[in-house]
Amino acid sequence: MSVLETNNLSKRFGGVVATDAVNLSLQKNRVHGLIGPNGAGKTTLIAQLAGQLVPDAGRVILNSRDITRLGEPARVRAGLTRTFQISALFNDFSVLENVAFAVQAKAGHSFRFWSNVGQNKKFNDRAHELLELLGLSNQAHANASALSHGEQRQLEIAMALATKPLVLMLDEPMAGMGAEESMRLIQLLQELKHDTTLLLVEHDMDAVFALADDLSVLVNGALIATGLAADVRQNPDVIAAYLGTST
Amino acid sequence: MNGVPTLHRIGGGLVLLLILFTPFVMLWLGKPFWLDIFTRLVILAIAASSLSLLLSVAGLASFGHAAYIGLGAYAVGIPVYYETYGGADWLASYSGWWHVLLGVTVCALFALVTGAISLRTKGVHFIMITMAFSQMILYLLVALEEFGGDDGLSVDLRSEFVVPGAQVLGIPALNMEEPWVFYLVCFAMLLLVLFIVAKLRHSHFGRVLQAAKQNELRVKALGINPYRYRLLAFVVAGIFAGLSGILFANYAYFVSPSMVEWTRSGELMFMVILGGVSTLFGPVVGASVFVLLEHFLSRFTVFWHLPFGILLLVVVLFGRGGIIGMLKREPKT
Repeated sequence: MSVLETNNLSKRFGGVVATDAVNLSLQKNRVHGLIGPNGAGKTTLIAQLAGQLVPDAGRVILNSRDITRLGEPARVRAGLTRTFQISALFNDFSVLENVAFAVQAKAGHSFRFWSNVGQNKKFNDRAHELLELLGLSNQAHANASALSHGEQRQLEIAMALATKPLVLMLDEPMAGMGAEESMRLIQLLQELKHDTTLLLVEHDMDAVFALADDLSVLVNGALIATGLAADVRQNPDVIAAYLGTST
Repeated sequence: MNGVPTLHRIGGGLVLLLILFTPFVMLWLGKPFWLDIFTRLVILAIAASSLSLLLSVAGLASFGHAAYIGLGAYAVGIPVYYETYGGADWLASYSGWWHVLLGVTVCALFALVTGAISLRTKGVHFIMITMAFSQMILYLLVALEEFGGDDGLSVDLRSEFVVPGAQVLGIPALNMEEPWVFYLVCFAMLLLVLFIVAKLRHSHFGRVLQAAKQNELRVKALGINPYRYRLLAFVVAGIFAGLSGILFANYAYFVSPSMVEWTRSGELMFMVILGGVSTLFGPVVGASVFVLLEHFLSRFTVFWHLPFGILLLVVVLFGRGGIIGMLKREPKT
């Protein structure tokens, strides 16, 4: 069953076609890899799915609901969450507070003025669980800005998971991670797909091939192949695009 | 982990006690004019604390905060004027309750409308648009010929806070004309505002503001649109500044458009930054240093703004957390 799909999604910047009638379909509880050379329009596509960019034409459908007109926060509440290529954290908050705030965001409106949010047991317990899952427990009280690059990437994912997404879009989660951290993250994502559906944009091909059940290849804004990962890897157009022998 | 906040709270408590008792000690020493200086100090501390809710907690550099002081002050000046000289019976009153109701309502509405527009902009644009709205109030007040226009309006009597039935029960009425009673009223208002700002800062609401200050993009990516939270903060800060304006009109027995000049807004920002933007008591320290320095420096020279400006430069350059930040920082080893 398709959880997230796009119909002829298109976006132009002046004369440049950034997204060219893309029809993408994510199946439930699977990892969908999205690859393509630099400048293929992967981040632009994610931004339109997340609601940061408005497409010129086409539709975005989440669980049979047309969300094309929804703003970004509303899409997150509907179950579509993204992570950022460059970690977007709250640097003055502790690691725990970063995640606890993400839990708070999921918990409903925040027009509550009296109780001390730092002592909210529900938020903190859930945040501790997520930190445990990402292996950040012993850093819970450190400042987010004091974390290593790899740890910040993990915190990024912990925060996104706190919103309990139906679909989680990961924009190059492994970028800048060490081999060991990458391995750990691959294992985690493997487990995550039991609860959620993943869209994985990643340059690390080993990670993509290890994780992706389905694969789409974006070149110059257009999908040149999409389907089962094993099939797409054999596709002559894809091989050509990646080896650069012809265009 | 717990040591620093506790120390900070003790330090803040000490600052407040010092402010509370100094004028009485000076009175005892035969220098009653200090009560006047400290009353002004406390009123400005209320205004600076209200601005710190925007500037420190929410990261919104509102450059039009003086407008609310002016609106609050005229909410006292105009009803008292009509009550004294006749006219506009529906408005005229010496009652402090009426002044507070009027001031709070006007400030809340003004903040709601201007905030709804200003908060759609960011950075320099936000600074400029909040300043522009405040200039509109300035020119409006200048244009009100009936209330003295440019020259302002004197307030003949202070607001009367009569509790119905209190006299029957034998509780004496609050005599605001008595300087030390008025001072204690101002101080109690400062405590109330500090208490509410502290509560808000640590609430669910406050955490949204703080998060949006650090990374708005991320707040949205977690499913929260910070706009309505910021708007509410804008309204609350406007109301508190309005309260300080009500007190200021009572303090000075005078209201004038000069209270709304943009330099006044700048001075409030100065106090918040000087004291330290990341702490609850920073604005109080900033307002104290501002008023006391103004007092001492202006004795030596009419150009007291010059050493003042140099001091601000030093604090901004070398003490990123303001005066409190400089004191709090552990010595490097």
